Amino acid sequence: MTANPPQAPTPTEDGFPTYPGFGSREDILARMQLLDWICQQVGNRVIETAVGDYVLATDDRILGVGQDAAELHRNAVEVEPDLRNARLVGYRVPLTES
Amino acid sequence: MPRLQLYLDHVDTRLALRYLEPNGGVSEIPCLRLITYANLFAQLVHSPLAADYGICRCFIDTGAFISIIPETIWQFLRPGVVTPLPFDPTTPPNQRQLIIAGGTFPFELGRLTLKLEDRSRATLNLSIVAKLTRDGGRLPIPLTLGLRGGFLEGRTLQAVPDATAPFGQAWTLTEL
Repeated sequence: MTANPPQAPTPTEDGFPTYPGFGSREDILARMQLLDWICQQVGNRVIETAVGDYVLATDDRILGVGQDAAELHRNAVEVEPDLRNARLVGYRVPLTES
Repeated sequence: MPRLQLYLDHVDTRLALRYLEPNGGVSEIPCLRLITYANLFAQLVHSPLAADYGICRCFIDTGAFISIIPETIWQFLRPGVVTPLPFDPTTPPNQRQLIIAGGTFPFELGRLTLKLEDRSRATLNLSIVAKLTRDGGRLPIPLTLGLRGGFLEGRTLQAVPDATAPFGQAWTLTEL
């Protein structure tokens, strides 16, 4: 008899993700770096954004840009269900002086 | 003594003011902000979208006397995280709304504790009074930390020249 293969933990329907390391110091640092990376993508015009846009990203990958954060999130996980339990980070493009 | 590193960073890497010096040279002032990170994970409702906001990039506005938390962020805070602070009845209506970014937004005052973190894993808990705007998600600003209402009390905010720091300045927030 063989043991069941280990499975990646999955989040509850309305809960936080439960991927290994979620919320750890490493995860927090990775989220900081991901936020900084999104800012660079916005600032360098790698992606086109407007003030107030929400940018959703996972590690080194922009998943979508738009005004409706909930819709972006929903669409991203529908297209790619594995993202339900991935490190997703959101960033809203802020107002600037000029 | 808890000590947190803060960072100068571009708002937009292509955004800078360029001007001509009297000698004909061209100078440039990049559009920078002073930033920190807030770890909100312990304070958020448990929903997939809320988790996207677990770590927030915050602006520190040294020209602001109080902090502002837009609705895009506070809508995900768990009940009890913010202690409501009702206005004194003598507060006039014009002091109960925030005029910013071409809009006028009513706000409520509340006290909460933010866990700030830096890239070297130092943390600092900050108990602040903030304006929580009722903006319907239309106020395009990040969590913005002003100097009063808890940010500076009992702490020093320091900037020193440092060639190894971003843009040559090392910023720190230190508890006394």
